[in-house]
Amino acid sequence: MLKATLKKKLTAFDLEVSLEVEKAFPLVIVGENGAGKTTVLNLLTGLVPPDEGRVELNGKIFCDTARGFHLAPEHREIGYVFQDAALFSHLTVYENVAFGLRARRVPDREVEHRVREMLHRFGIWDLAASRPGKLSGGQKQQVALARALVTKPRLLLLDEAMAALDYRNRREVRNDLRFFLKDENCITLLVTHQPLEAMAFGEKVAVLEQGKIVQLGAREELLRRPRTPYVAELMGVNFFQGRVVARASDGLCEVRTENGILHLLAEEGREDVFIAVDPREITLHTSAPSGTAQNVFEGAILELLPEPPLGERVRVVLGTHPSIVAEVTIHAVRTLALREGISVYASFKATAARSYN
Amino acid sequence: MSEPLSPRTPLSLLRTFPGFWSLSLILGAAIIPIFLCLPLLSLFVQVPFTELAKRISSPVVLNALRLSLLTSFSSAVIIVVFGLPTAYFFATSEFPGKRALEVLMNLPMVLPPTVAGLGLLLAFGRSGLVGGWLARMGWSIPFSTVAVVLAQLFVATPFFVNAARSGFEAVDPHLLKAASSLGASPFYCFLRIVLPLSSRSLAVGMAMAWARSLGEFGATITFAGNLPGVTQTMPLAVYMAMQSDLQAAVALSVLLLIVSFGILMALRTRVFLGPR
Repeated sequence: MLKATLKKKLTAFDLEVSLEVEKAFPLVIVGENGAGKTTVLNLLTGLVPPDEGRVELNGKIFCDTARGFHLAPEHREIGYVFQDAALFSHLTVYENVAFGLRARRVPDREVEHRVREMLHRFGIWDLAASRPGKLSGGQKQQVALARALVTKPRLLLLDEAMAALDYRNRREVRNDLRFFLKDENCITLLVTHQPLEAMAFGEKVAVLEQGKIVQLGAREELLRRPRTPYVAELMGVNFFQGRVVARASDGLCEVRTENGILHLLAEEGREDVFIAVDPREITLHTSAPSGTAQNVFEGAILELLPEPPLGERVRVVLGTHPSIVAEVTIHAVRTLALREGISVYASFKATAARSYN
Repeated sequence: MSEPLSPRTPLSLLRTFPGFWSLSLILGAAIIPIFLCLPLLSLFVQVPFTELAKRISSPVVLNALRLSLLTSFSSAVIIVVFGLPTAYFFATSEFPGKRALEVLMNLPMVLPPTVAGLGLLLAFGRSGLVGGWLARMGWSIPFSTVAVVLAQLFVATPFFVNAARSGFEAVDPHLLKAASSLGASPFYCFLRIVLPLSSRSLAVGMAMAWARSLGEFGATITFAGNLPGVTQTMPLAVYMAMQSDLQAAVALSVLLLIVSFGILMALRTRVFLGPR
């Protein structure tokens, strides 16, 4: 178990984070560039001291400002993997992987045994004598992982470790890693700015915004119940925040938001609610809709993005207030003659909005 | 290393980009090599080869050569030993007044060497700031071989420190971060990562500092004097010979040239064979 509470004054904002990570549930920290992700990792490795805080891994204290204690980075038994792999270009693949063992004065025979085993596990034994300059991006990242893991770290930090890889390599490296971590006693933390990466890697996700964790939970929880506009945007969900101002006997409520009144179904309870609307629940019209749709917005189309794999569905980003994303079929795009710049109406039914608090 | 984009030989350059650009590039690039080689060639043309061996083996010449090699190599070693920590500290640390101190430390490169010699005399001379104190302990620096080395150190150190520093600064900080997470102490990182990755810059800086030491004239003659066998290095011997016997001066110069060429060439080859 990793327990960390960290405070650090940065130029743009104050970083204030507390984390608990268990071995069974790797944590993903997702946030925009400049949100403080790398600073969190630097604080954990000990390369940067916190202004205030305490880090503890499996009962071993790394740092405790209250007692003025700071363990040097090289004694923390941490594996750190960078986006750019950061291999030592003057050493062969073999010597790169052996580096951590040699630095810890492991006897030569054991070094050879462990490096050989690790290279075989990643299927890169053939590359042992190569220099990093000759490797592909995927191979480099595998070497970087092997180099970090051969020292049997207690804590593995992945700093955008998969971001530079192309789609296929990324899946391979991710699978390698998942397979490996299954039988190692190692707590894992990944930081990334890509929501897809976050969703693919971890069941537990923390969203970092301006140095604070704004939401932490299982990935399904984040998908279903985002709590800030940023999280909603990451997850690709439409998001509103408001207050119930009227409630009818059938459960239909009026909710006042910054952008006007919404009609939706909300359970009795707290009156301040978050509202999420799935893009697939949004219907587009070229003229003002009449009928059952309760909530209507008008705005110009900003973007049309075909969705993989076949472009059968298209994401339509609208310049409404707030910006709404709809996901419609390619058929609808054609029949309504949707294109960037034209003004359309977006609507969703009261039953399509999920409210929670 | 990626392949260079431009063609390699002048001919293929002209063939791929025929026209004004290629032609002017080649002509422009030819002027400096010609200018630099002309005086060197002239020395070789002038040298009386039949007499060269005899002249070189005279005790004055041999003494000057021995002294030049001894002092310039001593200087190079001392510069590396003390220059490495200085360069690494300046490359990796911040402190108030750093910028001003850097400019001060680079002054010896632009100062006229005679001014450098005068400064050294005022610092280490018998009545100097440190020299007075040393004199009371029974040590006299000026007009000794030690003074020759001090003069060389003063003018040549910045060349090494600057080169080493830019080499250190070019090492990707991610590598050091990775190394320390792998359990490497700062010293181990320095030995196994920083030094090998900056070996080119270090070798270049070393060659420049050594060359500057070998050619030192002004500060030496001001601070150390011109005593044959004690402080008369090759540049001083050449200058002395010119007053009486031009042929002797030419012979000495050619000798100096050959030795310097050999050593610089060896260093270059070493560097190019080294790790990239």
